[in-house]
Amino acid sequence: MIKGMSNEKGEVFSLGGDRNEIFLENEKQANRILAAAELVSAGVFGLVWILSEMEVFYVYHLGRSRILFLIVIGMLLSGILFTGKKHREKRRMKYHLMGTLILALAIVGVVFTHNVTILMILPMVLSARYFIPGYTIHISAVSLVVFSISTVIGAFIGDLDLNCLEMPVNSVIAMKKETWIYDVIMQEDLPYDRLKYVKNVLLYRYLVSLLQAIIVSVCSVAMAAQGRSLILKQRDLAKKTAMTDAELTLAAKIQADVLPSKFPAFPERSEFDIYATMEPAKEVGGDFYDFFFVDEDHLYLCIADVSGKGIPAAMFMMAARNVLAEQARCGHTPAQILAAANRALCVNNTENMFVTAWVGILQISTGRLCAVSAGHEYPVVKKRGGKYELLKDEHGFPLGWFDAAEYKEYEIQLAAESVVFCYTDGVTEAMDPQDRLFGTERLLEALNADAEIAPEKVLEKVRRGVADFVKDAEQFDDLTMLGVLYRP
Amino acid sequence: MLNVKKESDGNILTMSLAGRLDVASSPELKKLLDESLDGVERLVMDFTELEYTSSAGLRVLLEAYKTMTDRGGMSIKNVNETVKKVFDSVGFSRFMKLE
Repeated sequence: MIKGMSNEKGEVFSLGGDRNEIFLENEKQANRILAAAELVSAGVFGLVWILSEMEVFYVYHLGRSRILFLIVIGMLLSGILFTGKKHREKRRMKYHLMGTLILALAIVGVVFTHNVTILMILPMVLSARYFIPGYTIHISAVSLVVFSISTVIGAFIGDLDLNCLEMPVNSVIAMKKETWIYDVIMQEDLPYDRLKYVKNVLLYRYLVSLLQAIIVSVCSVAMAAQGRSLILKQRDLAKKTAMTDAELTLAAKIQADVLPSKFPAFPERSEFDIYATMEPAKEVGGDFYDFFFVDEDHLYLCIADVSGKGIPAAMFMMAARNVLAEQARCGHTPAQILAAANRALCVNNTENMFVTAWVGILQISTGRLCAVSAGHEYPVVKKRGGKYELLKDEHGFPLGWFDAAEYKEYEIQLAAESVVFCYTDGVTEAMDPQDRLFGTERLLEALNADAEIAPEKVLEKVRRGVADFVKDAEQFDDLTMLGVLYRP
Repeated sequence: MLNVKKESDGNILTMSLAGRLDVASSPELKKLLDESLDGVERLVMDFTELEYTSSAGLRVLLEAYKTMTDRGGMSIKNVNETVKKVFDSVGFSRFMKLE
């Protein structure tokens, strides 16, 4: 469970928190939407008020409706003010906001009656956003009651619905250009049965809207229920992701720990200097390097690249690294090490995973380097006073392909101040934004830019060269380098 | 992005690959091969439009090669320089028939 991951603004995202935390967080967001709905409503009703004052809209009993408008806008604003920081966290916030909204809408309904029946469904729809089906049911019920009361009151004092008005047969209502029909009826005192009108309004108008509202209400409850299960699913997913991330971080640490990473690696040995780095493209990678003393005089060197990257490559990498190291510790020659490791890695390798590797054994006393390549990138060698040059060694098959593969080792003699630099294709196949590869030529250029021979500096220089080349392109492959300076 | 065109001529299946055979597209090629190789005697891969192959791609090709060895075999034609270099560096060219 990860709690309290905060971003710069200090907002808290609860990943994998318990149910209550998630829904509390969701409720805060829903409150925000509700407050926005109130703000928009206040704006719209304010506009309607102004238009009524300008007589664009006709409002019967303008004086009375002014008071109502004041109440409406006041309520909406009070609802919004309540969402201030101090109150935002409170659980009853959603009832307060919804309550003011329903009341305000009901009052608008009293004034405008049949013109605004659609407002009745707004609270139901908005309540679905809380993803609490029970809440939506409550709000639907409350809305139906409140709006039925507002309908009755509206029938007495609000806008007349002519469709519900019964008049004696053959009544004639004449309307002049500057007189509204309501004025004709109210001011001329045309006879109409008010109770019958109220009954008609309830039966023909309110009941009809009520039935429609039931559809909206049922849908809103269903939406709330689905939203709820979605949120729970999302929570589970976030939990799993967080767990996977934590596992990957740990796996990366374990992987990094199997590689010798303390430098200087052999402070007591002045005859050589060694430095190596491994940068996985993802958390874990398939590249590795390794080195250790087989005996006092023989240094085992290895760099390798497992096909693919990520977790599958990392798992194969661990196996390959171990089997190679095991063979090396037995005191075998490089060719024997690769042949034996290859046989071991071919067993049950149904996924045809493979690893390219370069293995060398450097005899410190003589400077003789015996090496072998299993399809690995050409090493770079710099002899004293010379340039860094590719050593185009013979390539055997990568480990894991054919169990009968044989490997041919070769020997080079290192004089003092010689450097051997090995790398994986993460270096040469690093791509710039135009999809060009870094390549061995740029690698040699970077290496030969100055006469640097200290392994740590050499590796840094190459890394910088690659970084300058790829610019903002994403690191595509694992990037591994190993450098040895011989200085007996 | 990898596009594969399949053409069957009797027992000979020709697959033309276009694009990049990398970590992302290799599993899809593997799946396609798994589905397509039933009853195929000879597999021909046309790499005219293949720009790049990564080690993950080699793995799939090797698998196809192993599957086809017991039958009529597999060959690859029209390999470009970049891909050829990769093939050479891991010794792929030594056993894979390149035309």
